[in-house]
Amino acid sequence: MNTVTVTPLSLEAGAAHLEKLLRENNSSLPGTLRDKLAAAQGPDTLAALFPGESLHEEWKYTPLSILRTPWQLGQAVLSEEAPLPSLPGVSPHPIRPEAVESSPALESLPAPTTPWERLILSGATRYAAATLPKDGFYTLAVSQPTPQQAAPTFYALHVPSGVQAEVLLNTPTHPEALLLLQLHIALEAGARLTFYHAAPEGVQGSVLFLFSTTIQQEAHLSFYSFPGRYRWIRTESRVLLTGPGAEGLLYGAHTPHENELCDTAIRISHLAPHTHSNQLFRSIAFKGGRRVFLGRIHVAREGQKTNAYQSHKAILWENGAEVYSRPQLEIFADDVRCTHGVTTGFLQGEMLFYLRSRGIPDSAARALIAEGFLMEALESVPTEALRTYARHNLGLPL
Amino acid sequence: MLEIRNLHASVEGKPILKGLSLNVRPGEIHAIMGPNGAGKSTLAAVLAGKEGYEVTEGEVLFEGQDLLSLGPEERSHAGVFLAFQYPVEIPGVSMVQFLRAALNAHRAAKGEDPIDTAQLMSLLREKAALLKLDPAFLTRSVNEGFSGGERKRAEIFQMAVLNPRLAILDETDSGLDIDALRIVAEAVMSLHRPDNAFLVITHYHRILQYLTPNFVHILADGRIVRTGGPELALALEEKGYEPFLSQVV
Repeated sequence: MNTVTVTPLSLEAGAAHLEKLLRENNSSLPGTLRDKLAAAQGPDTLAALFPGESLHEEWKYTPLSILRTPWQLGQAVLSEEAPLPSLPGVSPHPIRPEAVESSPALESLPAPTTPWERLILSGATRYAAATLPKDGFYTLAVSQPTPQQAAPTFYALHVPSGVQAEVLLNTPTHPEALLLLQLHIALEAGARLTFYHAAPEGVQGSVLFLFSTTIQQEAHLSFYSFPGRYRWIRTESRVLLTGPGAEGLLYGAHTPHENELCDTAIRISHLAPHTHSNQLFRSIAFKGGRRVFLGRIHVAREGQKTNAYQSHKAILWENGAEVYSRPQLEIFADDVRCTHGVTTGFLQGEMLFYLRSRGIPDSAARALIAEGFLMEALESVPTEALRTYARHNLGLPL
Repeated sequence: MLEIRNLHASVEGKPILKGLSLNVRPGEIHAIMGPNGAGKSTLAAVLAGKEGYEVTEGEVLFEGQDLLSLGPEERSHAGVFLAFQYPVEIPGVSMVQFLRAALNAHRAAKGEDPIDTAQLMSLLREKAALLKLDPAFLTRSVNEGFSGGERKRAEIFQMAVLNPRLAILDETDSGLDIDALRIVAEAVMSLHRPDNAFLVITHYHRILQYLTPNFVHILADGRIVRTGGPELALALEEKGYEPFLSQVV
């Protein structure tokens, strides 16, 4: 049995330690990314995220206590070495990493604007890229199996014109490890991608997932997030709809339990006319679990005839659960349709009684209500095997 | 089958039922009528086991068993069914999922294996046809987006599927147009057998034209103040409650 001794640090000291590790590693930064970084604007240090002197609004409800651990710098395990879920009827192709320098996806990589983006980009221990050459179902696993290690990883995916693909991202992470993953996906005109983010069963460690995508003319992205259970997970998504007719649909079902945090921060930018977006999320927070949802719709001056929707419904399953939801609209065009709505409430006793009055025992009734509520966000998953996988991967303890 | 003896029940400390007694035998249909606030829906809720209703006195025996000691699901397994006045929505749970879970819970309580899919779908389609419900309705989430009439029909559809010994219909006729009322009432009557019984809570005589109750009870201020045959419902329709309540001491 391995015994790991963790020395408590202050947040500031922990962050400084992590920052130092990341910065010291930047000698391997590929040239094209160095140029991106050099052109970037934004805060330079993680201190900008700290409560107190300069509380960052986007991190207001997300504790940074994961930084207390004096992480060692480690490397994530990519793709074929990581375990895959069983998906009946699906023939998955593992995505094989290529040299990042040659990836056409980098042309559209947005400049980093946050300290995390800058640090992961400059200090990653692995840089990888891939092009999805043809239609099909692909798997991408990025795992951090080693305790006490932080693994900053940068990945870029390129989906050429006309390709229709599905990608399952799996991020198994040791309960005492930190995975820092930045993933950029470039969809060329007319490309269609269905993307799933999931994890194996069981409670995983800590993950900061920075996701960005550029969606060109008439291209389409559906992004399904059902990552299961993590001690701490924050998914930051930047979706840039850059061409007319581009579409970005984001769905998620999340279930933080005791001492778990699940944080989703989304910014969808409509940068061209006739673009469409949707954010549809359902969450259940259990006792001692915290769910954070920050969803922003940004419509630029060029984004006339935008259709944008957002909905986050959450249930506080029991006392001691926490949900923080904040929808935001930022609209600079005058001919758009944008709606947003968030609701948070307790489990309705009326629902439970209704099911029990039909003979369904209390625990099964609760499970049915929870699963039905969460699956509202995932009912449009196109592949049956993935819907089944999602249903089993919701992390319900019931 | 059902014996209610001197039942007293309160909601948030306020007494609602004040000594209600009633006997229902197999094969009978009882109608319970009464003014607003008389305790009709409280009676239904107490019999089905809803939380928040405190029984302060009296007893309820269902086939000799103490009904009040059972949880709502156990009452259902025993054969009690409540058709809700206001059925709730269960988002994301299809009627098929819901009724599969309910039927399998009933079967498990009897020590039987779960129902297979073909048998389940055949049963659901047959009962949906009885209520003249489009089969597509089976794939919809429970009560979500249903009109008032659809919700009431869905309640009787569930009753047909679960085949209870005692069905309590809590204002099932309210919100139904004339055609829907006839469909629902005829479906209910088609389910009536010598070994089951119905307790029909209603404000109106019109549903009783189809159901033909053996007994009509007037419930007022938490207890039954008068019992008669079907003619009592007709008299209530003509004269209202006042003449009957004024005779109560």
